[in-house]
Amino acid sequence: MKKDTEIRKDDIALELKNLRVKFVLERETVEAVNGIDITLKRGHTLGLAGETGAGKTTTALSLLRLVPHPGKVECDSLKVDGKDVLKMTSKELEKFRGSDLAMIFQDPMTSLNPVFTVGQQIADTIMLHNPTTKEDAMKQAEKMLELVGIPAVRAVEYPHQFSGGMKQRVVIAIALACNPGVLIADEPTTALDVTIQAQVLALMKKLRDERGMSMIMITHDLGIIADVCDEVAIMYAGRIVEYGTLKDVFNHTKHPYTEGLFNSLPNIRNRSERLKPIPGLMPDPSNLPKGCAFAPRCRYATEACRTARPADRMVSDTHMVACTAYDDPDFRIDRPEKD
Amino acid sequence: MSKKNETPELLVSRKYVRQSQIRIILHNLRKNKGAMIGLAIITLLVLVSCFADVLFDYDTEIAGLNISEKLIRPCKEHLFGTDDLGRDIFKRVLYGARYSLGVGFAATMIGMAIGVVFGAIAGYYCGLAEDIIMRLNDILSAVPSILMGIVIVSALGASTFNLMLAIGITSVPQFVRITRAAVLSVRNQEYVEALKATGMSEARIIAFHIIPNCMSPIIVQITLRIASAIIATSSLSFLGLGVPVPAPEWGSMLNLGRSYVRTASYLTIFPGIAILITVLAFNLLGDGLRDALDPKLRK
Amino acid sequence: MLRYAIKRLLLMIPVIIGVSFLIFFIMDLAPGNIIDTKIAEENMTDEEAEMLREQYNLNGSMISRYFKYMGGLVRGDLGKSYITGKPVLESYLEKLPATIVLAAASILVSVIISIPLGIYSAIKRGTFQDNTCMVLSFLGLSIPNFWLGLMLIITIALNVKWIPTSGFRGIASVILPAITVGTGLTATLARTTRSSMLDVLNQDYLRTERAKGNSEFRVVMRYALVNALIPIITIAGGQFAACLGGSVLTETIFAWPGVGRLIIDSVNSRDVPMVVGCIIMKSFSIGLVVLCVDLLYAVIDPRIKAMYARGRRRRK
Repeated sequence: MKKDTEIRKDDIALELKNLRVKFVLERETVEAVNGIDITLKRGHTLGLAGETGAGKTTTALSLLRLVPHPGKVECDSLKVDGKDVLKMTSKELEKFRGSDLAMIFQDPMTSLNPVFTVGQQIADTIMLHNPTTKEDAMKQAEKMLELVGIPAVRAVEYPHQFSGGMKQRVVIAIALACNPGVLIADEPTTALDVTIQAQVLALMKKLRDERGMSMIMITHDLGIIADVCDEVAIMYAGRIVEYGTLKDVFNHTKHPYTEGLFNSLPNIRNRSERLKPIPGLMPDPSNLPKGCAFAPRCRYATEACRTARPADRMVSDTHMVACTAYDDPDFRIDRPEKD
Repeated sequence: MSKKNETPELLVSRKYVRQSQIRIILHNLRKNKGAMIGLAIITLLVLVSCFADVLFDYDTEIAGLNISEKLIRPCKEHLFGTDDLGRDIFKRVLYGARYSLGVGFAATMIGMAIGVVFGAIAGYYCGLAEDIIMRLNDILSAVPSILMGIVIVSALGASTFNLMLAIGITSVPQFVRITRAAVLSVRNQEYVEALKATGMSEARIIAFHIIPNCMSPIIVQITLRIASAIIATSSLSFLGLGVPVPAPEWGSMLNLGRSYVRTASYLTIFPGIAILITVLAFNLLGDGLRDALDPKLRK
Repeated sequence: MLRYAIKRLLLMIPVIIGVSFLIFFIMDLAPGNIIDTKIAEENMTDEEAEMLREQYNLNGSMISRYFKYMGGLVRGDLGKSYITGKPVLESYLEKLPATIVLAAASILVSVIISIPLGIYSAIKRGTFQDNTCMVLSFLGLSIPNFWLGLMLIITIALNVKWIPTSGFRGIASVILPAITVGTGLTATLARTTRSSMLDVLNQDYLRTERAKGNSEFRVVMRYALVNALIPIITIAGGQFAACLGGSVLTETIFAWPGVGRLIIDSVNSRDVPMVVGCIIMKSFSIGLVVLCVDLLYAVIDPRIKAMYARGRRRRK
């Protein structure tokens, strides 16, 4: 993308170029991610939005180089805090995970080891990356627990003694324990009740701002994006179809898929209005259509969309859209622009 | 099975399910190399057992003495050598297949018949019947099976039939447990309710509709139990508590060879390999069947 | 947890009553009895014979003998041997140390080989190495262990001077019996370890551990293994319990002076009190070990501990 060159190098927290992830199975090849570029500025939060199966979690795991077998990851460049992750040895990678780049996982119920106390699990991370004694690590772990709003005395308890929201706080505490420069949050609130969701989000925002972290927020909830993100990338079938600042994407929506996402949101001001879901389903990632992956569901789709993959097009300095329809300079989607 | 009680839909669906399931199972089994090797070995052994009497004359070749040729090392005429009474080990090992397979199979069938009936009763009728059966089962399984076998055979006297009975009884608890678990999981399914609604008797429901649906774990268990029954057969015979001499049972051949361990080790090597191969074949087949029958384990 | 243990111990009582009745009943089916043989051999007078019969209550029915025996059992008396006249418990305890040594050595062999092998197989699942391990474990599962014992004698004991072929004399004499018993155990335990590890290796929390920056080795050996331990311990505990009962065949082959041989000798000489007493002790020790294993779960898994603490019975 053009904007890379315009930002000073040391301002970039994370830079990813042309990420492709394939899962080669016995009978089929699943193309989970098909060429993704991400640039995350220091202190900024990027929202990665899309339906289930769009490749969001796979993208996140590729950043940590933790894509499970039989996944094959190819990537032109991946730099975090100026460090070239692709060139790291496995030792360096271990050092890098957790301290430079940490991740909060989707399901707090299964993300904690059931046979260790939560204090131990947080202290583990601390001890892995800092030369401290066990006692010191435990003390720091207790502090981390208090930071996420859990009384320090509960450090000796086991995950099964915590509620879902509490477990998510523990997962956050583990991720933040070593003060990572970049934090990936993979649907951190999906498994939680709505009221707890708000609390957890507020907590994450607070910690992000206090620590000046950069963050990648993965979610399918556009409300969360609007709440916490500076930039937004909309993913569909392993590609980013629209990328820009929050304002670009929300107010000057360009891609038909993004439009579809907004249309399927309930409108609180006009409750009688009917939801307009996007027809059809996400294509099978082992059998992607030749042209634009969204074409079969897109009401603007033309013959051109079905034959060739759309190129990334910059519609402003910060706003990218991957849609063939904009070859026609007069093309507009129905969603009105706002300011 | 009379068809008065059944609606045509039920008949059709059951037939359909059974056919297609068998096809799936065979397909899965065919892909499993180990299971196919096991099956081939078992087929071969069954053929040898069936035609053993045609191949060899029991009185002269298998049990007859031939002192002039005693303790010959393995050579061209006697592939596995001869024993202290001049009998050809190779022929005896081949002939012995029928004892191991026969006793192993019969004993497992005895255990299965008893175990499945009680297991089904325990699984279907909860409450007192279940409690009594399961407590008795606990008692039976509290005694290690080899000991139970030893006690039973020595009390009843060493004979082939008593051996089958003893090994059969020791395999009952496993069948009870497995059948009960399977019946428990099937019992509350809707098709059983539907059959009850048609007015079918409970015995009928259990025998023709519940047990057939619990067959996969039972079949797997039968295969694996035959393997351990064959080991048990030879173990008891080895202790002199099994098939009486001079029958060429592999275990009693080993027992005989034991006295010649220092001088004629081939007496113990070959019957043992025969047991090993047979047991291995059943274990491979059983394991393959388990994978083929259990869709959850398939990957 | 104590309450749970006591409850489990109490539940063993009916099982032991049942076992003793069963063995009593089966032994009673055997024609003739040892006392008659003894009387005939020692040319006793009718009076002496009658006294001996009375002493062992042979004139009564099997049921009355059984109740008399159980009466003694309640007081902790396992009866006296028909043959030596020695208390059963004393003979049993005399033979127990040799059996415990063999059981411990066999389990050691099994655990040392099978757990690393099972873990390795699980990590390398589907590869050539995994298949090789599983073929080996199938072989181990299928070898009749008395034959393996004989083979070990032929190949090793007859060639290596310092390993004796029989008896219980020092450490060297344990090696072959322990390998004999251990091979079958190793096969089972390796398969259990593999499948248990496979279950755990797919869990989300291991991904969390990796994301923390743990090395793959640490993830597997510390975080995965602890979670996979319960099935492994169940099987290993069961194996140890079974070994404690004495491995009849192995003890016979290696002339091992353990409980297994005591039982088979008693069965052969129709020494009813000895057989019943030994089998009761055996069932009891098996039950005890299994209970200990169950209690061990609580140490490993805090969720199970919590369940005990709440006083709930674990569902089977």
